[in-house]
Amino acid sequence: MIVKIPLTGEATKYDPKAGQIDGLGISGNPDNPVQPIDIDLGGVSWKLISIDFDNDRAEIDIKAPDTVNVLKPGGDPENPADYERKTLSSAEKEAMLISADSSLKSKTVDELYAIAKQPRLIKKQSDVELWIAQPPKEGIRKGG
Amino acid sequence: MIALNGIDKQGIDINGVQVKQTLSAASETVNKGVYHATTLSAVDADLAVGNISDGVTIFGFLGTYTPITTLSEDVESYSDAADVPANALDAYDLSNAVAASDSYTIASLTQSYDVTSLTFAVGSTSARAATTGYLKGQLLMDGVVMQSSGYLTSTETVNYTLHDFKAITGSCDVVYRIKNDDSGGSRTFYRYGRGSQYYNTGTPGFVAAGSVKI
Repeated sequence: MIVKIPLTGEATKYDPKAGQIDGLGISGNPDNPVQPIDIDLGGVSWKLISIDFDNDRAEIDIKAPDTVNVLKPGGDPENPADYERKTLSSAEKEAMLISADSSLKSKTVDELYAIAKQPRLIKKQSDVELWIAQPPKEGIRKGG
Repeated sequence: MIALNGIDKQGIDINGVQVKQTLSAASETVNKGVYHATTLSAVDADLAVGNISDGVTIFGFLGTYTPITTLSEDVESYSDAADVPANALDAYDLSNAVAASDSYTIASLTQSYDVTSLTFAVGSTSARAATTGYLKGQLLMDGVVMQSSGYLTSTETVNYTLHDFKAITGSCDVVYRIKNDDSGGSRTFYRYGRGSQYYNTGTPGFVAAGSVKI
């Protein structure tokens, strides 16, 4: 499932030529990398699909895990021996994805940044203007 | 109506001046009328062999344009996790703590790439979290977090392998790290293996990258 999520970190440049190759074209500061904000999306994994440099957002493709750790009744959350592996059904995986999507859609962008306690993406206005004039190529990133 | 020199008698211009039509590079329309002698390439300079696909003829111009289809290897490199023994026969038992909202680098490499190089990177580690629900593996390329795994499990050691591609120019880092999503405290993960010529346990950690020039 593809969802939209705000970005944080620092973008160091936008390269239209690179964008035509990978659909991103953006480089980041290794000490403050460009990344989705730290919002709890459950145990899903994700892959970066595209970046909206103008609105500081990314599209990510989220996937639910095949198994999760479940705390045994009466178990200690800090004791790994009190967990057991559980295989998720298709319905449970779908519910996990819908929950992740809902956690993003139910809040405004400002609220999401406040929850994550992270700032908006740092970027140069000249790069934004270049992104608008020469957007990255679509298609090569969609669907991973 | 009798047309004289292509001009309708009733529409003839004052003093009999012939009104010539002109071609335009902006339109394919050829209006009825009389034209000055010219060449089509003079009307539209883009009508040139370099702009026409190789083997295609347009108005007598045999094209020579060939799209770039040749790919050539650019660079390839890899880096093993630094905190495991280099000797595969040595056992290792590592416990790594990741500070709140921080990350621990398993392996990284820095490489220079040509302009228009498409780089493929892979990072992997075999790990078990002390407590589930907080730690994730992440792959970074060129200062951008490209992928994140799900939570590291606490019940068994699992291989967490991530891979992706990105267009990279110049010098950049490829990093595989473990990220702690817990803002309230440090979280620990384990990597261990009993190196042996007969068997080994999981992958302590590495990152590798290769690129092609387009």
